[in-house]
Amino acid sequence: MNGIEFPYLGAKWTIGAFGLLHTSVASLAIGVAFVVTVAQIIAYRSRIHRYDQFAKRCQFFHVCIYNVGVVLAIGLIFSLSGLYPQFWSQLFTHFFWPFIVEEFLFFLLATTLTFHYFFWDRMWGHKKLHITLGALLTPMFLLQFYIINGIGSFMLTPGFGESEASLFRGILGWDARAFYNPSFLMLTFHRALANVSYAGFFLAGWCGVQLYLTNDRARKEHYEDCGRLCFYIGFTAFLSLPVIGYFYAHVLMKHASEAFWNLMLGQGDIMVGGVDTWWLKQLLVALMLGSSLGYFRYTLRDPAPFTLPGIMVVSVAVFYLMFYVAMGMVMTWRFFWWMLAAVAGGAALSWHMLSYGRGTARAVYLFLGLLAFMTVVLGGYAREASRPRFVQRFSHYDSVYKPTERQPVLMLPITPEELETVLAPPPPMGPAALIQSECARCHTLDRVRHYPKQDWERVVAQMIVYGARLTTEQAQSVTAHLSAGEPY
Amino acid sequence: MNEPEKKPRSLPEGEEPEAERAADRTAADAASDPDGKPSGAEPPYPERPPSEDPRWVIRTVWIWFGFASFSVVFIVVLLVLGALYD
Repeated sequence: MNGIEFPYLGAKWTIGAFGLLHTSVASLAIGVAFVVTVAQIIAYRSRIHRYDQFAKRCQFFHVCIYNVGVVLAIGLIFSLSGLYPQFWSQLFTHFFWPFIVEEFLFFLLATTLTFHYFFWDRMWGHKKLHITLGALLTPMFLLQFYIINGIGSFMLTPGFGESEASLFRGILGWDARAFYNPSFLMLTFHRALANVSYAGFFLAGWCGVQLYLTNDRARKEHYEDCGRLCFYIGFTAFLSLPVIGYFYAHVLMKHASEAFWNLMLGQGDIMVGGVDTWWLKQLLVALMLGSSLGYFRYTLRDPAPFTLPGIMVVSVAVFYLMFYVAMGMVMTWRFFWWMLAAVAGGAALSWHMLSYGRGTARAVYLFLGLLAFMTVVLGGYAREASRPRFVQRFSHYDSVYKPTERQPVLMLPITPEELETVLAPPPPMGPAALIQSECARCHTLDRVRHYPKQDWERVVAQMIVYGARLTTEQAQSVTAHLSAGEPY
Repeated sequence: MNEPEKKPRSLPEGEEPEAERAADRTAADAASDPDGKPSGAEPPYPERPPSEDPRWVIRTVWIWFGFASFSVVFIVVLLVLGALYD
């Protein structure tokens, strides 16, 4: 049985298209809700009306994108149900109660958002209540994230050896050990702050567009101030990401090695000079950092609302770079210099745009908004593409879930006594079979074919450091086999 | 939909009677575009006595705020209990 084929796109890219579009829209939710509350509080405390007007426009935008995000989420679920029915029904049965709570949160969020926006002008006498109602949106979005992250992270790090609850007691809609899996916490922190950063830069970019469209002096001043506010929110959240990302990468390396190496090496394989989406994303982020530093260097000369002390920006940026370099863990010097060049290039470009615009940051805001959008899309794609594939869309019930770490014991109808047999070590293998099993555990065999023959000793040694499970004798035989250009 | 109730109130000295127009419009709104865009002149921050807000709106928001807050706390408790008792 082959299942439904989606015209032109195919099953995988249909899911990918819905997923990426949904991510790029829905990821704005937490951050926009946060920016709205911050702008409303600033307006209330300073009695400067324009911040409240800005908050209202942001919330109008939020109402629109919330609808689009929900429509795309429904499209994603419908597509999964039809194109990957076994996977989806299994996942839905496994996490039935979290999905139901998620649905309830959609209802809470949609209604709260509607009341907050449409009662805006009817509640001027109860402004504190109105601001508090809007402030409720941020924790509710975080809660919604919390739940979907439990399910999303389960698909990446189900946690070998942590599936006993499902294995021996059956799955009845809630599996705490699967939900609170090893990468759950780091994914939640990383996605939440990344979303605040994305929304901050995105809204600053929108202010940049408005600055291009208006000639009115007061409006220009308004959008410069609001753009700066959004930019600062985006940049502050942005600085936390490499630190969280560093620990997230560590969790993945330990609990989802296949996904980790797919992510780090990508299809282009940085070790042989290739650049994959993950590394392209890193270059864009380096460009963002450089552009932001250029912006701060230029704008901190003149005091303006919301400015940060220069020494703080620079010290945090250095701290950022330190973690950033460490995060990749497979960083090559060549790529490191490329990243530094991107930082320097971004700073120079930002300085040029500010000088050319005689101090207006509209071009920088727009540029960073576009970069933030691209990094979210590329990052989302790289993360999902790194996940081991659902190899067969229609397969035996036991074979639906990948990653392979969980595969040997997941939901098999076996008793604890039979577990030893299922997990028995494989019989001894020759070099060709070892290459097929050990190398392909983390990446495709196509990658193996790209390495130069003379480098095999170094590459095999490096792969053992990365986690290839080869004894000294096996490593020698594999190196000899590959150096001789034997088939595998 | 019912029209909001308009309660009689004593106007502060100097306040124009027009200020009692529709409860969802304020002086600041008049100074800005209908879609919320800021106009050339900086509008003042709208101040309005709480009694001028439509009562059904405030009542609805209070009820909703209570329900939503309770729901959030309830879900958090469920997640904590779910972590402890699988």
